[in-house]
Amino acid sequence: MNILDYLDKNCIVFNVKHKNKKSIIASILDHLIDKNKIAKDDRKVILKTILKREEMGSTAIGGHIAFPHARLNTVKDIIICFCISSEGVDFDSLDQDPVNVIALLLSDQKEAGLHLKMLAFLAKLLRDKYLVQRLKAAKTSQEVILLLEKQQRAIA
Amino acid sequence: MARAEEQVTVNKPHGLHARPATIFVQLANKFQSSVKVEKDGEVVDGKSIIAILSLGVNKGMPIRLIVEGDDADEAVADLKRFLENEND
Repeated sequence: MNILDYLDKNCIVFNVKHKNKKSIIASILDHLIDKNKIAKDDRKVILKTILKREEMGSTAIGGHIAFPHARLNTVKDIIICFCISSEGVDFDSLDQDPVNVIALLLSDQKEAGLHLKMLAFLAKLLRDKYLVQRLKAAKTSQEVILLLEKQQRAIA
Repeated sequence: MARAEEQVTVNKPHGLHARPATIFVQLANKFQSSVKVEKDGEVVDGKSIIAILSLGVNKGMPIRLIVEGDDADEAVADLKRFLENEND
């Protein structure tokens, strides 16, 4: 699996506004609307689906990372968006620590297999806490892409 | 030190992904024993959610639990029961 087949460099955002989990996810979705990755009309349903999943158990599983995700009829294939916050955001994480790297995953409802495979692959990349530290310090999309590319080669 | 190993087939409808992985790790952390999980030769820490997620275990896949410590037998039995149960 190659994450760069799915991660567009336009889908990497830095230091979004952060009041709470809902406003962070909303900001990420607004960015995706801006980049024509999702339709404006779908914003509400996507936000609702992601938050419903978060209510079942936070995807901020500790270690300063979070994986909000949803499968939807309105999404084609797979959309990944990385959100980097150098200062950290409150994402209701299981270890109560602030989150610095959010990897948001949206998949076509039909793509259950690929969706789970991608979640596992993201976990495999981000289970290295040194990578998380380096991503946290990244300032540009290009830097994030290079770090992920390097990590991917290291674990292959 | 006691050591217990067991091959288990995961019966969760969505495999060992986000939510069931979290519950698995919470359960593993109730025991003093170390818990390791092996899939296809890759061994990871069974008390780390990200490590469990990274294995990408789907429904029907066999994994191996490797548990070491005074409460190893009890831990293996509880974790196996959880993994084989379809419900969380």
